[in-house]
Amino acid sequence: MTGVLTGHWEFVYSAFGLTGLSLLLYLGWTLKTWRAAELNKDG
Amino acid sequence: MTTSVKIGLGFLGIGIVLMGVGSYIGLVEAPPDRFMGDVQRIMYVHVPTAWNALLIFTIALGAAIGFLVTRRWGCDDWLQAQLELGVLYTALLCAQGAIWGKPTWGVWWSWDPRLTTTAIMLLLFAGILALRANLRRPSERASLASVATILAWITVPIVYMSVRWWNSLHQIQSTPKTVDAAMVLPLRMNAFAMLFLALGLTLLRARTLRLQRQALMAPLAASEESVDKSPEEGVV
Repeated sequence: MTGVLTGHWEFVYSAFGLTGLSLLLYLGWTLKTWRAAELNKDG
Repeated sequence: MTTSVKIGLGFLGIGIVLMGVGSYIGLVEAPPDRFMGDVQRIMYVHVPTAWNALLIFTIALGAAIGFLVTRRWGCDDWLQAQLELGVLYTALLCAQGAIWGKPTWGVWWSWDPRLTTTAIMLLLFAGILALRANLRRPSERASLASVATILAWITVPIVYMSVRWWNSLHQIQSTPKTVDAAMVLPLRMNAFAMLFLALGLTLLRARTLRLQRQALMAPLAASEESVDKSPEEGVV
């Protein structure tokens, strides 16, 4: 490593973790509301 | 299961796999930046999020124009889905930028032209979602949101060009041509991952919104035969 900044992996993992978790939460909510709407349509 | 849902689920699967592989390469295989070291790896989620946020709002612009021209409810469903996704991606973009800014700039936030214009774009589109949530008549909601989206979209090219138009702390736009060849693969993979995720989520949300609208309008359709021809009279 020749960088002026070294380490700081906590920032890297925070950015990746926040992105992944947010997308998963939105995906979960999307699937849940879609299933509910399909079930409601089928009566 | 409809074809659009099958395609949407397929896109989601492709997006998840691409995101996993691209992030692995970005975190493990790609070299650290000469000056920023490992912190630069945030680029592999930050830049794809930025590209896709701007693209999503541009698709929203198309849906808004499409609704105003054709009055098709499908355009309004797509508009709602794109607004939700665009706001999510832009909020993530700001959070990722803050996380990257702290170790490199020394601050979580700066009233820099790129950051400020992005925050304004986020607030405008979040405001349109709030506007939609508070309007009950479907036609009024769709028309006003479409007009507001067209006006708010003006911020998209301003955000993109802000680093060139003004003296910005933020670096100029990152593209595969401006980064080292070893960094291009994870950048491209995550960019396509975010795109496939956005498309998959859009198809599922559009289907859900259509079903919800049909369920709410069904009683009106039963009592008033013309509701399909004049859905603007329906109250949802």
